[in-house]
Amino acid sequence: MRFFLADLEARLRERKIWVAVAMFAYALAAMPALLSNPPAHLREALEGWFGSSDPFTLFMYLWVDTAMNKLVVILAVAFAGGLLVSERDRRTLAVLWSKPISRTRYFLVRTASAAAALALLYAGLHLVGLAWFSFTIPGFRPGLFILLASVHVFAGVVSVCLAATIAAWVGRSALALGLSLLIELSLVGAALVGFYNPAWREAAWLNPYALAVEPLGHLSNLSVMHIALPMLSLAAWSAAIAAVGALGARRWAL
Amino acid sequence: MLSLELGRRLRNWPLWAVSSAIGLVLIGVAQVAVPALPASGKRFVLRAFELVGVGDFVLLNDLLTLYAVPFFAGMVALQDVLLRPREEGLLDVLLSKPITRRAYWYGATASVLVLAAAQGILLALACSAAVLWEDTATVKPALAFVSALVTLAVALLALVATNAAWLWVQDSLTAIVVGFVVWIGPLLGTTVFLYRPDVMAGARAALLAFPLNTVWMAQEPGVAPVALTAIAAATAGVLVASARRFEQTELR
Repeated sequence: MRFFLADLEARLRERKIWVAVAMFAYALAAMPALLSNPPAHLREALEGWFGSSDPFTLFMYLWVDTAMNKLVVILAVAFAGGLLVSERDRRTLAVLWSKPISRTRYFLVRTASAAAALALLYAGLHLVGLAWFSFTIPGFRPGLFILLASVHVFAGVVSVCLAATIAAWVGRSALALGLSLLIELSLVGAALVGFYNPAWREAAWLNPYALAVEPLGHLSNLSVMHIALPMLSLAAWSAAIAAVGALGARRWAL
Repeated sequence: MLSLELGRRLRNWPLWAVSSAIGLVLIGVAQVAVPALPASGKRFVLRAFELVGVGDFVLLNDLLTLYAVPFFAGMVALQDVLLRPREEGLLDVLLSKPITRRAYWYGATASVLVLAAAQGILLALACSAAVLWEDTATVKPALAFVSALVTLAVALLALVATNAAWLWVQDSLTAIVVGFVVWIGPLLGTTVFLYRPDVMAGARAALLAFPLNTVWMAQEPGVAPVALTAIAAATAGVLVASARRFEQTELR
């Protein structure tokens, strides 16, 4: 636990946090202007995809595409895409492996601290967003915004686990980072495909990011299950991916 | 210097092979997924992005892949120019060789650009071949290739700009976030075009709504040589300016 907290504290002091804050600030500032006069054809399309075209549905569609589909993924790769490979490249593995901690535990604790740092950052910035959007977005629904964001955090945890696992198995820093970026951006790019083509809705659920956006289709009749099921599924995805990564970490020699 | 650096970069061939494979798969998936969309969805995209036919819609998807894959593969390869050698304490060794800093910067950066361009041309050929299966009445394969070349040129410009921005970055993982910001910048024009066509219209959209404007270029190919010349000049300018800055930077 002490290692986890120390690592989390170190992550929250990194310079990339400020780059992330600047990205979120830009997104917060741009949203009201982008949503102030949406074209009629966009509203019609939303009606077909989500069964509603009210201002909040439009807002969430853009916010998911910005916050979850772009910022979360890139931050997850930046937080966890260099796990083990960076230590190896900096020649600090020998020191680490001399400590009384197993490779599996080292991998899991550092992955968990990266996920916690991302979740804390995401939560903090959403609290700022909550205040800002309440004044600037017509029809904004604060409770629903926080509920949906709490599902998206779980998608962020999946992203962190995936980036860390790819690093642990690939072992080459450039290849691991490149793969993480391209795989995760491809998956988020397909997150909404089940709404665009209802025939593929169930098949799309194989993609964890599609699970995270599933509540968007139930905004008018949202129940506990619409939130809890994606959360549980995403938690299971994270645990399974991290377990695969931990197996990969066991192979790491000096 | 360029050939030596190119040889060094080619040792990282799995990165280029795997990312090319991902790019080709994404182009193949768009080939199946876009035509299979319900008619209302296709109608919306054609209306929202002012496209002529489904072939243009497929091309737009493929150009996004072409903008992403060579950029991200090139971005992680570019980390070997400055960031990783500095983190690993090898930069002094590299610069102690009988070469000028400027020669090192040009050689190391250009070698990545050459590989990213080669990968981009492969994907551009796939983009234009993909159009063959679609509505060739609205977009011709040769014109799709020209649009793809312009998109690739923007990706290379973004790579050079990212490399320049990294002169102010110390950590290779923070650099990923900075690179992403540079990459996504040109795409914001298309986002504005989708949500606010009232403010992003006419000449402004033609200039800023990337990569949508390169799809429109397939209808007006005369614009492409002008665009390619301007982008190449900007790329050369950023490369020269970053080399100058690299010469003056105190490296720690």
